Amino acid sequence: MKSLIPGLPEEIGMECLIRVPHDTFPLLRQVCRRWKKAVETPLYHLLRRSAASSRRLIIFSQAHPSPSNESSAAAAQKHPCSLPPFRLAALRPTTGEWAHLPPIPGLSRGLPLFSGLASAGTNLILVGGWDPETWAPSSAVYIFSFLSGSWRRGCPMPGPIRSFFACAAAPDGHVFVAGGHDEEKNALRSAMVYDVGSDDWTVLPEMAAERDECTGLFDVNENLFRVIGGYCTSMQGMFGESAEAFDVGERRWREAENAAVEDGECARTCAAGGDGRIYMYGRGRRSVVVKEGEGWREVAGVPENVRMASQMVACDRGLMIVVGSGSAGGSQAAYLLEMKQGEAAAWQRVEMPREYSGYVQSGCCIEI
Amino acid sequence: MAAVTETESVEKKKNRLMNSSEEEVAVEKPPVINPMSEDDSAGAAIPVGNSLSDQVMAAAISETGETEESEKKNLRLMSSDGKEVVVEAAVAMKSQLIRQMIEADCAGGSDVINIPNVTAAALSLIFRYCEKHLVDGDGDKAITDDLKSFDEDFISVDLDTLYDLLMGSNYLDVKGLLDLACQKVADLIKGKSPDEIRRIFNIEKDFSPEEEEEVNKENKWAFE
Repeated sequence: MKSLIPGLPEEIGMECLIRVPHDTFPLLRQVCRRWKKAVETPLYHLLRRSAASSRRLIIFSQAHPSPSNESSAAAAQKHPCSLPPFRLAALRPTTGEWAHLPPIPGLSRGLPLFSGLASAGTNLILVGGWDPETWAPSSAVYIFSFLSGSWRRGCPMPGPIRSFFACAAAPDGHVFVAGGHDEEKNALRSAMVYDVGSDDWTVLPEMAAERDECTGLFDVNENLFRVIGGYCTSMQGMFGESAEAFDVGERRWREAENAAVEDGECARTCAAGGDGRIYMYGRGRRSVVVKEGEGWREVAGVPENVRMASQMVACDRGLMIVVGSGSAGGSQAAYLLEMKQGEAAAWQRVEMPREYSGYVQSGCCIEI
Repeated sequence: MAAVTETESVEKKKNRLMNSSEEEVAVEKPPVINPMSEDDSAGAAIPVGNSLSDQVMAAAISETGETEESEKKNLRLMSSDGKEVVVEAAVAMKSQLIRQMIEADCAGGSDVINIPNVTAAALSLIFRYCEKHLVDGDGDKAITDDLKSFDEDFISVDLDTLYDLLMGSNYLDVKGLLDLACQKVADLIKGKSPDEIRRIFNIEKDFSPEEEEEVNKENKWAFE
């Protein structure tokens, strides 16, 4: 029986293959059937993690930097109809290295605006969003596979075309969507889930409340899709403080809970930490706080230059990254925060080179 | 570096010792080291190093305070190609396999350990790695950098030797070396074309034309 690398036992062949950098996956798949199959197995990625060969990447949907000196956010403020194109950037938090992912073929104006962005396994999933040129909402689904290094289209979201919905993925390739608003600006309470493997959507039971502009998180510890905040049609722009959680195992929504966001804060910065707890900006955006029981505990102060229009992305093993600006339209800054046993170590500034200095609209973490 | 000797000369020495008088033994008591003989550089891959006694002394000094009897002595190993390899016990015990064999036996046994899967040349090389890595360098940047530099040079070998190191370190269970060698193979893969990779590793291209087109198409996906 032929082995992965002729002349070497299968296990050793595997130990060699798992150590290639992630951008070499497409190459492995082109060598022969056995290599192609090997890199597509869960075992490959499990061994890769055990050997500490996998890498965490923070993926951002980021605007091209403006040609002039002003930041892209400032440019957006002045000319809302001519936002610079968005593209995916990947940051390796441990080394500070940035790279661009290939653009979506056929989308010459860049990524959809305000789309859901999530990661599952070796895939990135982009759901919905607005056409960058016409601002028309779309139901399109795009998937980037690190195995092939390329994009493909997924089955579009069924039902009303929704905007500003919650979106979060479970590690097993299920991408959950809930809330948002339809083309008549009605806040939605409907929810559905996309399966990357079978490329299809399943409608889920509805939430108790309409939630426009809600935030979605996936809680891996409790296997819950959490939907936080948002507002109903009659309360335009007045963010509520309740949250609901979809119990994946039981396939039903749990009872809504109140005080799900820190006093009056918008849930936009909510992130699910690797420890299963919810972190967000609080104390008037001056601190990062973590949910403990009914209340919120301060974890660390937020540097001044990332308090506005921020994104917070949490990885496992206690890593968090925040991107934002110091003032409306100000230039972007990014910081890393490492949590050790629930306590925060210092903030570490992350350099954003010119090519990667544009406004960040969303982010997620992937380990490959 | 581990010494490689002809089996006969060791036998001869043993006989001489057994037959000599006590006083002679006191004088004759052989040094624990056997000098490396020139003819054993038949395997071109054996690198030349310091004199063995220097290296054993260096290894002894760098030992981290373990004082069991078995640590100070040398071990005798029989390679797959019938040569006897003598190596300082502390160095050899970087191999988890050898360590377990020693720890399972009574200390002080003087049997020759059979290593049926690894040639003398490969053993030599592997023990050279082990000896360098006796010092851990935990946290000490100078030592870690030195080890890293050593490793880079050490693993820059031809493919046949690399395979020997992979198999040998796997069999002997020398984790650091196995990781280093596997990483080297991964480094050889990256940046090459599929054709080059198949050539280097002697892999048959077994895609059907349709399969090949499918995989290539994925990399050049264009939406209609």
